[in-house]
Amino acid sequence: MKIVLSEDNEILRKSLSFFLTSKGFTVDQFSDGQEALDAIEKNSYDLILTDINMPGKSGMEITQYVRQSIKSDIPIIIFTSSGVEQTELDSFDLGANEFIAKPISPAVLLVRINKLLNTRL
Amino acid sequence: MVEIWELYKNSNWVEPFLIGSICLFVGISTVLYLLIIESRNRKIKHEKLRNEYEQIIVELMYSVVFMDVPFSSVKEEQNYAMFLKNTYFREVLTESVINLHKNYDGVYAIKLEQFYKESELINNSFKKLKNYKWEVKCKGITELSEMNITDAFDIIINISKSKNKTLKITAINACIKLVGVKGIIHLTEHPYPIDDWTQVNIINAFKKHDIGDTQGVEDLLESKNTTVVALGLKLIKELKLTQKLPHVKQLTERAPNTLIQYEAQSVLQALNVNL
Repeated sequence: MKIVLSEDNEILRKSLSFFLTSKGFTVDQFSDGQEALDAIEKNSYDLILTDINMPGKSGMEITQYVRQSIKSDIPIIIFTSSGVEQTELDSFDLGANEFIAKPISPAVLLVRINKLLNTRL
Repeated sequence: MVEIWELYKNSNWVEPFLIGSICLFVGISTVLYLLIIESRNRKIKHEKLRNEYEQIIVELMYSVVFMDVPFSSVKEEQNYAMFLKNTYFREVLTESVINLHKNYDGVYAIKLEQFYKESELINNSFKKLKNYKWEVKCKGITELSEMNITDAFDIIINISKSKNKTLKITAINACIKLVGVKGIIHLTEHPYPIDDWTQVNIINAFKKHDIGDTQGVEDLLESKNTTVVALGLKLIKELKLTQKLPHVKQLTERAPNTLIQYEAQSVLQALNVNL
């Protein structure tokens, strides 16, 4: 299973990448939203895991582009430190499958990833 | 005086003065240039070291947080033992642990807290509280409160009495995070006015940390300091503490001034409407 991990917080991105790799996933990690989007267009992935506030393109823009321009139904999980209700509503409106507010529990994240991937299969 | 005037008039001083000035200018410029180069080199070196350390720290964190390797084993590993004695490595390690703790929840956050204590990074944070620079003190306070070190409460509450506003707000926020309402009860005896900015920060800290037990907020209404009473009223209004309404009602009857009386009535009105 191939995952795009888009997060500008380096230590969090690397540690999550380590964690997901140890659970058997192949993780392509990006600190820039535009670079993540370029990779999504070029390659085939099973799931997108993205932060909202990032340089290049935001997680919201990535979600919008994937759903409206690429017209892909790939599962998207947005995680962000914003606790604002409207942000969560906007994420679902744009087509995100899951919204996780930071701080996150990697164990819970794993369960949600597996759930989404199983649903898709 | 005449001699100085003669020296000035015969213009013999001009040449050595100009040469001296030029030499001084060139000398100072060279020293400043060398200082800038040295500072830049040091920063580049630190940046390179930071990148190198971050890779090691990610692996270290992975072992501790995800693989449940005890710190006692990590400490004995040759790869890490050498680094753990390095001051700059410990500084980067502290920043990384704090950063991860802000982003991780549940059992992973607890493991990070455990690591912070066992690796004695906690001592570095306590040392920062004794530093004479307020910004370093703020850093130490933020680290200790982020890692929920309640033992630091007594020291932080003393720092919250500081005259430096940023330090004071940081310390009060930390006290609220560590012990909730108890972190501001001491304000009832506060002799000086608490400005609006500090009050806003205190209210924000309550909202941010989602303090469940609000027992004691009503004590702020008993203070002789009217700004503390105003803070208590704002907290009751913003946190919608309807159970405190009897205390607010009592205050309207014995308010020290019309402004407080008006604020108390406005709180009663706002919360009664919400009811």
